[in-house]
Amino acid sequence: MGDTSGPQDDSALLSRWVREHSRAVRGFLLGLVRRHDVADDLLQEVFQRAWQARAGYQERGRERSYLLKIADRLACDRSRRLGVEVTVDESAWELLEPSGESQQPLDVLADRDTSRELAAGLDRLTPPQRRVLLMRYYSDLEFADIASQMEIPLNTALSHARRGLMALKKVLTESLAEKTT
Amino acid sequence: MTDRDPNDRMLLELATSRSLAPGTSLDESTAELREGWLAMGRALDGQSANISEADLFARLLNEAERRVEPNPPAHVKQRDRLWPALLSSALALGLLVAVMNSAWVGNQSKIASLPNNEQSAVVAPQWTDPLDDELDAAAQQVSMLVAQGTGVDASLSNLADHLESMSDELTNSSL
Repeated sequence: MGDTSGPQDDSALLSRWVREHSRAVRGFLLGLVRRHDVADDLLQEVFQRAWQARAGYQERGRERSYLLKIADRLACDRSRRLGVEVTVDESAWELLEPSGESQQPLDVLADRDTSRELAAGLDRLTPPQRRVLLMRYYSDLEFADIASQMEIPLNTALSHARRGLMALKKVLTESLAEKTT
Repeated sequence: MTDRDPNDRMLLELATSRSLAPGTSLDESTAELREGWLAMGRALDGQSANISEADLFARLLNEAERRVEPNPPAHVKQRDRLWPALLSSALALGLLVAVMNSAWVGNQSKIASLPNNEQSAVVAPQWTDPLDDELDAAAQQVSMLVAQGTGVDASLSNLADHLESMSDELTNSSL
């Protein structure tokens, strides 16, 4: 990333970043903050910060994990500012982040083939569980790297992943049970 | 499957892999975890479909251009260069006044120590140069400008020129 030599190269590189990674980074952010408008704002900030710090970036070939790491930090900083860093339930989320008319909450998923229950399943995960699973999903890093990136012990990361997946599986099971009855 | 199990990480990475190699068999618990994983993937893929990469790229370019700091106007650069010159001149002027003052006080004390009949021979102070008045006026102007904290480029420029000319005159003639 630090091998650019001119404004045109910079522009081409930024264009490639956006083309190859913006969807993943936005998906990651949306999974964390669960609001489209906030995810869009953070997405722009992620690329701005990554761009400003590109000269010091040395991990060639791992651009996505670099961007996701910035995204994770920004989302965590935002949560800290809102005072909802660790765990909140559904009612608390609604109070802290009420949906406006212009927002597109995950409830829109109910209108699609993707079931409402799956979106609700994401909401059931605790923030650490979501962070680990989203990082795994979008970066495809191994859990050891994810733990290192999130600065938590490996066993903690594995525990978050396993419990999160069990929660999602439970949502699926409940959904199937409701449809059969 | 416990957190301490050395196979835990391997099984979890298998359950959460993008794709499984053909013929890969999973035990029951790992298969359940993979079901949850695939469900999460469907939910995430469904929610992240609407994004305009072109808009994002345009916003980033605009922001990058906006953050480029513009060059300061020429008159700002000139003013920035003028202040050090003005302050240096004011400092030199202050030192000059202090030296003249100490010389005059020293001379007065010498006169006071003389007998009365010799004091009458000294009829006038040593420094009667009319430039003293100009120096005092210039010093007052500098004090006012510094105290007010205002900067009018033209006035400062004139004052600096004035001080420099007086300094040259003193250097070449009086001192």
